[in-house]
Amino acid sequence: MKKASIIALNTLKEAIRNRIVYAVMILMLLGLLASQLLTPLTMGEQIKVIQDFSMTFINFFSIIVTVFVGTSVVRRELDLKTIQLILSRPIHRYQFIIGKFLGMVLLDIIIIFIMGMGVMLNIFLINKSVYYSMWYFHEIHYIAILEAIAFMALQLILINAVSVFFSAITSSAVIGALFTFFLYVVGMFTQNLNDLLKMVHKSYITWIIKIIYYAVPNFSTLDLKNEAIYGIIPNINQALFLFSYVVLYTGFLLIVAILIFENKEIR
Amino acid sequence: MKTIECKDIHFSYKAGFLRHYRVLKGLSFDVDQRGIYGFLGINGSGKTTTIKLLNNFIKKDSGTLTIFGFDAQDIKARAYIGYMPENPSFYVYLNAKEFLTFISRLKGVHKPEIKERIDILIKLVGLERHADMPISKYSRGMSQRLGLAQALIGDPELLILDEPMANLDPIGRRVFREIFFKLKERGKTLFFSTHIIPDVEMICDKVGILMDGRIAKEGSIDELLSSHIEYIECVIKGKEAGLFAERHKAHTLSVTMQTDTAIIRFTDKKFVDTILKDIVGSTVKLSSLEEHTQSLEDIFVHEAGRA
Repeated sequence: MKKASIIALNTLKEAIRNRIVYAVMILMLLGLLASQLLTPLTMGEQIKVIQDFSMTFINFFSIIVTVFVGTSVVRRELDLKTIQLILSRPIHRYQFIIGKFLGMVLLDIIIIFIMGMGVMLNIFLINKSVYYSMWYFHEIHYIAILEAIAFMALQLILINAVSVFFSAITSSAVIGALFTFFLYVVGMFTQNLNDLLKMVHKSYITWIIKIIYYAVPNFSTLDLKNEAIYGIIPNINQALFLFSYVVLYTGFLLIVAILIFENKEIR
Repeated sequence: MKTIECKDIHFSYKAGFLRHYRVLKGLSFDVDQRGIYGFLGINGSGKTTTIKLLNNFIKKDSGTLTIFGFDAQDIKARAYIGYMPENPSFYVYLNAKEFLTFISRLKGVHKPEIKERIDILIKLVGLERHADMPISKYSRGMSQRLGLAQALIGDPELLILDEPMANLDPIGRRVFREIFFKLKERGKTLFFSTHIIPDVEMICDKVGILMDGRIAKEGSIDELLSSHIEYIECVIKGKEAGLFAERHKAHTLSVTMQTDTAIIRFTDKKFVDTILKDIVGSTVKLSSLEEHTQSLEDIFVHEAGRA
């Protein structure tokens, strides 16, 4: 675990010194500020729209950062051959993969923490500037928003596992990023697949849909943005279930990635 | 115990779905402890593939490969190795000190010693003035120096060096040579892959010439050279030098006369005794007697031609 943590900290350092990460984070903060411009356009639903916009905005950009940085952290090591200087040391390949994954998780936590604070501050300030009455202030469910942001972090962790998995099996960072993004998009619509099942009667199509439904990570269940706006907080059992789902799915993807990576030729 | 034992290694790269490209075809060699082993071969002969097998970057098809008695795939073998790739790549967002600290921690160097050891290594390879500069700004020669510094982290018993002097200027080459000799004096083993023959002649104790995935010739530089005698040249002086040379003409390769001097060239070593006995009983004097061997380059080219 010590060696994995050394790799993780180096991965975090690499990501933090990456100008693209900075650029996207600045873009996210500017976006949050720009959301204040939307208030005159929202006709009485200002707070709800701002909450929705802020959370969707940081969710989208943090996913972009995670997909592209996540797929490149392993792939770049292989392409630039920096991995040779690591794996020639007394270090297992699984420690390398876990280290890379943990480094990205640390980056996600930092991004979500900073951006989450930005969202909370943005909502708080707009609420203050638009409404001065306590009645409206209470309409914002800060705990639910925090919980939705925490589940965004879980979503990013799962995306990281997917990106590490695709980094291990594909030969290009771009292909890895495209596959990860595609799987994320499919994963956001798995609930719709469930609805589709009710309409389809042919058995083999039902099977195909069922396989996709169970195989693709269900990112939509981790999306609690709408619930947060209406103050709906998942109960402890639901939260534990979703947390366990992320842990198990992430564990499964990392194990497969490690098994593939163990036999990968380092050229 | 041998530092490296390589027995009957076979390795093929996959070329497409069913096709395989055979690189190593029964490679066998041993590297003794302490000393510098030159692994010489033309491009594509399998040098880098062998180095990748030693580092467990790729897995052999068959055969035995051990480092200090541990299988090359065993992580324990890694603890003994310091590896320098042909064109080392680094994390460009770090500077040399940060990179060497990162590698030291991976190698398990005791934390309080890291800074001191890094300073020593940076000075050793001559990077003092550039230690805080981002690696992205490094020239190829500077990268090569950093590549050697990172290989020396943790004071490894075995250094695997892939074309270590390829991008260096003459001063850099001398610095590297001196470092290699110092390491040898300290009892380290250096496994040195190259196709630059003068480097091998100057540095290596033992040489293995790799051709077409097998060792074609192996031995110390002296052994290799003495086994490839081109001719023996005997220079005799005296008024009867011409007559003397004429008497032995049947056993010679050539005879050249210069006033009172005869230069006799022959290939058979047994003929040396005959000629010396004959000189003792005559009026001529022996001026010189020396073996003319092929250069390592001649041997290398000869082996390359046979492969």
